[in-house]
Amino acid sequence: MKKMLCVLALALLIAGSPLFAQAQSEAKAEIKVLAAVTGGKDDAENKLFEEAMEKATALNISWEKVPASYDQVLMQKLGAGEAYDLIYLNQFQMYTLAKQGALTDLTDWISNSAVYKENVDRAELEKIQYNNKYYAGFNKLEVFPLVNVNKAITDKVGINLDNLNSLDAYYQMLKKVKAYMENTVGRKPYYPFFVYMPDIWDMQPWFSSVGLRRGVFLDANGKKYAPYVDMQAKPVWEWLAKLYREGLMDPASFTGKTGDMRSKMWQSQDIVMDSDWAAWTGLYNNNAMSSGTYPDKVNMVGLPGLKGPSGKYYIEQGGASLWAIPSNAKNPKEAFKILEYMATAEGGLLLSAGIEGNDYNVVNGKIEYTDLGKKHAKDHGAPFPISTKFDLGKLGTMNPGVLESVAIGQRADVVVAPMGYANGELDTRKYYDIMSKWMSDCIMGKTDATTAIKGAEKELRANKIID
Amino acid sequence: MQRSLWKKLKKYKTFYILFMPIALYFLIFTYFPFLKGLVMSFQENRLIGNRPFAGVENYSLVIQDPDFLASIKNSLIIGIWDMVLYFILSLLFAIILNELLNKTLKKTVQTIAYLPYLFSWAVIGGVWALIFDIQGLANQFLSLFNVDPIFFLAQPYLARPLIIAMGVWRSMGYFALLYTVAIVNIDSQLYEAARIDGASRMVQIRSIILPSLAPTMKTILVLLSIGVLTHFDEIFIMVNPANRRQIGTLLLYVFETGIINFKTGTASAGATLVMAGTLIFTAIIRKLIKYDKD
Repeated sequence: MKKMLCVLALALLIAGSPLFAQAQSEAKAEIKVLAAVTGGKDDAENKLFEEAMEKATALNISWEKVPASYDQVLMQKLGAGEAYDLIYLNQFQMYTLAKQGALTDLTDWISNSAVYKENVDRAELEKIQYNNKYYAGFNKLEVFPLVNVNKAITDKVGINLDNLNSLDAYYQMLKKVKAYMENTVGRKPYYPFFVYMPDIWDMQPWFSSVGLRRGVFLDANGKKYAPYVDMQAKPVWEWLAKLYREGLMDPASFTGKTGDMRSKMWQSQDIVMDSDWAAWTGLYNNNAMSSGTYPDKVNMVGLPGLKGPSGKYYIEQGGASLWAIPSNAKNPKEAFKILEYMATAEGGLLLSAGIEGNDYNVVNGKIEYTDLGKKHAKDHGAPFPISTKFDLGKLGTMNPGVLESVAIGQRADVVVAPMGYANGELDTRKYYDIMSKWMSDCIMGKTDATTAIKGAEKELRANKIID
Repeated sequence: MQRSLWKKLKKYKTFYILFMPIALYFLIFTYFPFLKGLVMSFQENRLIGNRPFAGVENYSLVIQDPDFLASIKNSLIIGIWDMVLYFILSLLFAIILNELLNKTLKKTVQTIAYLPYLFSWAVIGGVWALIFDIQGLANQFLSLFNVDPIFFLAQPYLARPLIIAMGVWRSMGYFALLYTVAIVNIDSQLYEAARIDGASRMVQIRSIILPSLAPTMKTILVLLSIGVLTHFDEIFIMVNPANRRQIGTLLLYVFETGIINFKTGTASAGATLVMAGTLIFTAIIRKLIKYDKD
């Protein structure tokens, strides 16, 4: 009895000692992650994703994936003082929060990280610098939107896509498709082109013809300027207005969402051309394959748009999707471990193919997808992982057309760069609103291109978006 | 004095205990966030950590922002039209409904009119898009008369009328229901006396129904005046690049500044101004309609 009491007293003593308490709290330290697109597709899979991440990093992780209205949730949670160790955010949000001092400076950690040195392209890293510092790491490699054309339809009209080398050639192509669809197929009215107007997203493949880029840049004197409101851009504004006037641009471009655009593209074939992510070339074809319309009715191909005066195509890389460590994070070092893991080839596999045993199994060294995995289309937040060591071929057969679209970005005559953020000073929402209002006025014929360009320039200046 | 207060509290303790959860609810979920927002409007835009005092800088930024000034104009136009139309049309509808003798028809019409109020704005927006899209029902109807399709949803001159009509379509049934309840409660002896005196139905409406509805009208007007500057959901659903100048309202401005741009201080300043504006507007309406007098 005495012995038992002694053992109990000793156990209590150990349990109450600061050393034990520290060890226990370390073991229990939970790394809180707030995620938008990255993670499992539903609650059950998200749990498996969390476990896979815990296994890989040897950390205790709480992976909270927000199913909708992420920006709102992020703002409310951070504003209410909730502490997260790692948060998902876009490039504009990274600039905003870094300016507010809400993010941990990761410059030293990233610069000294062996994982980042081995896996992340320096050029990609430079794109997310803010005042020569890093405040975030990568979620994935950003690709770019490009022209997607349904070749199944253009072939029937007898159009050679290689000849689409001027604004007029695109106009003629759309005109022929419209005539064919309305007169031969009997689908009237047929508006062959859709471009998502609210964020003027993405007309870059055609603005490339005048060598101009979206956004706001700084000139040599540090003055802010917006290339799209330069008079050089006028031919593109006029071209867009001509497309609308002649019923070649879908009016839903002004009111619809990207989801509407996509279903019109592959599901109903209500349009023949849009501007969408390179990955979507494959997704369109994959969806069409599932519904038995590939390649007879749907056969999407990606095109780089038009060459600029310098002989190069200017394509816009998507704004980076990033991970940052808030300044009130309780476990910043551990959070950085997760950031590093996501930058490895192994982490890339989790963020693309998904969870082994759930989304895929490895058979004879090759990935074999489960039915669920096929449904998840090799995307758990990063269809194109950031790691330079990641072999896309490992993911198995890619969706038809996607590799060709992605390869466009690697061509010597193609320059892929992000939109201008004016060194993180740009209020993107305001820029989009002003530009889309004036572009809509011009396209819908309420004003001519010169007036619209000058109007947009004046309003951008009044709002201090440009100098 | 203290003793009598204590006595009163003790006497009505059951009521005070019953009132506690409601009072707590409002304190925690309404007044505390409001006070926090008010404080935030005088602080720098910082989501995390200490927020240094910024004086009236946020208010100065908001007042000088051309978008905010434009949104005041849009809010007032949309809000006042909505208020007037909700008030008049729902009153007319309730009176007409009251004149229907067939009870089944009356109930059916009332239910149909009330139904849109149960739908979320997202659903209403979808229905509106189905009707007014370039290939929607309205244009299909117009095509019967060889009229060229009109792009209703992106015409600036139609933007406000469509938003106002959307609100009226959704809410008319609800306000009509409030009037109907008041009409049903009118003493039937008044009608009987009027009939004996040979009053026509129109005279009965003018001399019995309308005066009896005065308190309900006042309440509805005050309720509507509170909503004049706070239109958001329908705007958020329907806004597009072509109609933004016409329908961008104050709360859309606050939402985009606060949520999209993470400028919580500036957004709070905007929200505080909206609230102050609502208080002033409601006070004017109350004064005009002599709400506090019998």
